[in-house]
Amino acid sequence: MLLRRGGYAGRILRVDLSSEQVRVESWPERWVTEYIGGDGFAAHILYKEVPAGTDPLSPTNRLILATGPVTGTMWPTSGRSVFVSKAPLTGIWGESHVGGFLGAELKYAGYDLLVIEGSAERPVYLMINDDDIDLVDASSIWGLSTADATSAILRASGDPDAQVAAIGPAGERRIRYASIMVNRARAAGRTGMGAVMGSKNLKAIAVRGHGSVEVADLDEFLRLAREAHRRVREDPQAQQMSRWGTWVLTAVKQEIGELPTFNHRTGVFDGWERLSAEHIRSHYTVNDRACFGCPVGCKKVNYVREGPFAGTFEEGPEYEGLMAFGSLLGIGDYATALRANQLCNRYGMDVISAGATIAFAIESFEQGLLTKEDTDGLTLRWGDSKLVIRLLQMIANREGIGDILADGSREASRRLGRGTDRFAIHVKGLEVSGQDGRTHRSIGLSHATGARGADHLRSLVTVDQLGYEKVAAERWGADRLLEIIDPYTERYKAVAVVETENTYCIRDTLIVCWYTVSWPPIFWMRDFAQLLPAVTGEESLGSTDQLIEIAERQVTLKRMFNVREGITREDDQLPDRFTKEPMPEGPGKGQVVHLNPMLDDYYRLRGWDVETGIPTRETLDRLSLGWMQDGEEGAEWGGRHR
Amino acid sequence: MVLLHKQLVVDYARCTGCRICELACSAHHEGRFQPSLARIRIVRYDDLGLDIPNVCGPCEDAPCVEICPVYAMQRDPVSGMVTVDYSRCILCKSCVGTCPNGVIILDTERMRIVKCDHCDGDPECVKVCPTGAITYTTPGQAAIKKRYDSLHEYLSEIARVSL
Repeated sequence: MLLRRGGYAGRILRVDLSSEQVRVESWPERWVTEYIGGDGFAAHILYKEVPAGTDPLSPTNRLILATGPVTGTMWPTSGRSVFVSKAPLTGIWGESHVGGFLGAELKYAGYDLLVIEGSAERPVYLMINDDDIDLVDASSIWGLSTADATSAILRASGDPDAQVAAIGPAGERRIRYASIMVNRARAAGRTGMGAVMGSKNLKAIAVRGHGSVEVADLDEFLRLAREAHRRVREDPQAQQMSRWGTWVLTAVKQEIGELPTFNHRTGVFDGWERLSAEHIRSHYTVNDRACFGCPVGCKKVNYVREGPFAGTFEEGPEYEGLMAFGSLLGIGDYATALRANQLCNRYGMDVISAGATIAFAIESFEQGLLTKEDTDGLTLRWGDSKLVIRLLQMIANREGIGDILADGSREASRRLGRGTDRFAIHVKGLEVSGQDGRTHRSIGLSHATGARGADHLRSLVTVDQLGYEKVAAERWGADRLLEIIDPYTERYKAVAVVETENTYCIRDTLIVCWYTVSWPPIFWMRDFAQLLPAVTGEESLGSTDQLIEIAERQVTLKRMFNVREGITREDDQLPDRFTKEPMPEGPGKGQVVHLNPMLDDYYRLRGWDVETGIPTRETLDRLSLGWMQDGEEGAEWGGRHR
Repeated sequence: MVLLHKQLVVDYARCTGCRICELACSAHHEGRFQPSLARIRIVRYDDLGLDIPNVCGPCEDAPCVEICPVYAMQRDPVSGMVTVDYSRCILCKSCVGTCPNGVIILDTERMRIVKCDHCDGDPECVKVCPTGAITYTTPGQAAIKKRYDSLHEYLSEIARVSL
């Protein structure tokens, strides 16, 4: 029975690569009120179908591509989708959201989700053209870069409007932070989703859909969407984003002393100006682009005219890429960051983890824990552009030291030993993104508690740090304002993180972009509560309390996935760099993170046991997740799938 | 009297490829979000980092009118707009193939030809375009407005830099 509800296609496309079986399933209607979509649906499926201890690179693991009810509509930034799988980089919950045009196209083809199981015997790619599903021989494109593979598939399909998600050589070689590249330059970067595709011998997913997305109340929806577009267009910071992209952050971060530099050793970088928006746009940017349905258009196309990287032409990188191949490695040169970003896009690797793993190697070398014998004679040092390019090539080809660095900083430090773990700056195996808890306490808690590891996208509070006093007071009360906006105190930070994480959870079920929700803070829970009934026709989604409960369910469900893999409070820790090494200079000089009081608060607010960090039975029952401990299998929606 | 018809004028340098115009177009005409039935198409070149909006007109000699064997495609002498006379259309699809902009479409669900009608003089795509890449104006005036805008932009840039 096909679900007929506004916003949804009502169908799951399931592809078993081992048996080459394709099936279309419906999903139970109660998922609308339990999960809404996106991350929520995917979390339910992954928990039920990927048992504890599964090797992420084995055929048993699932790769899920999920959309939400807003995907493909005219709400601003509705083109996003999410890849979910057990993560090769961390061995726990893995997810990576991506922009571009893929999610909307999947909805137009008639599917809310794509679930990939098994592993193909030979390289294939999946071609979805509405109801025509083909597994196409990919032997001629195996080994190609993501860009070349995308071009080849578009040529073969004869339809330039098809949307392609592809892996490159890094995914094929199972680099543990391999990415999936959508529309060539939009990355599902983090946690190694590309390696999962590689392990399944799946080179690419191409989608073309000619159908539609219908909402429950079109007039009301269009009224809300037009108003939303107006708010984005008139927001001064969104206008800044349109012009400068996420590069605006470089100068802000430098000013507050939180621009990760020399492997997070410090938060100020002398060479920041050549990584700043004004420098880049005036010297390199040739065009502005957007993802599907986005009025902001923060994507920048750039071209290097001179110097050693002359001729490099590529979108990006975002602030995170600038940080990872700039300040983090002591390189004050945008052209290097663009070239490194291009290599990562083409090989299909996460820029944050790649940069951080290289930073790990350089600092280990600097401290004498790595020697030229380990590096095939290479001298690893800060600020060396050519070295970074060489190391990226070695990683993608698993050549020499590159083979060790290809497994990420945690695994590399395990294999190398010698005390190198001090310089592996990660949480639960995921390299820390471009923030620092020492100068922004709430991100310390976010990094420590994020379901996929040191994450800046699932609960990063922005209003406490970037001067949104009015917004912060509205959300958390004027009486708490002074402490909430003080970046150097732990008090009330768990409140801000929990409420922010809840809102972002709903954002990730719709699915809409980080920008316009997280920063600049234009849309919040009440906007989603207005939007969802118009889209889905489900009136109960018009209550923010209901949305908060759905968000809590999603956070706890992901947590239970991790608990089943052995994660407890002991794993919710930050590297010593943030808790024991005071910030050496800049505005945050002398600061360290006191994580434990924030963790206590966080678990209490989440209803998780404070000693262990494990959700209590009471919490599971309250969130209708009691089935997780009753050992009951998911028989209610078609049961086992074989 | 010389008539200068208003046209959809595009500036591909401003287009970001977001396709909100396709969404608004299909919502207005079809009551749902379905870019494949939009009367405007954004052609995206990810390899070149370029996006080009394709709209109906202005065609001085409209191939869709020329090719139609039953005279179902007719140009309104006052508005300059080409419309389909559905009572004559035999669904031969010649216009679909000949349209140089690829914006005449066969709706295979309802079996009819769909094409842009400028929303009767108030185009949705223009209203939603976040960057002003699509305007509804007389072609001559578009160039004047562009020059006017760029001077303003230039002056505001000087003001910003000299702060």
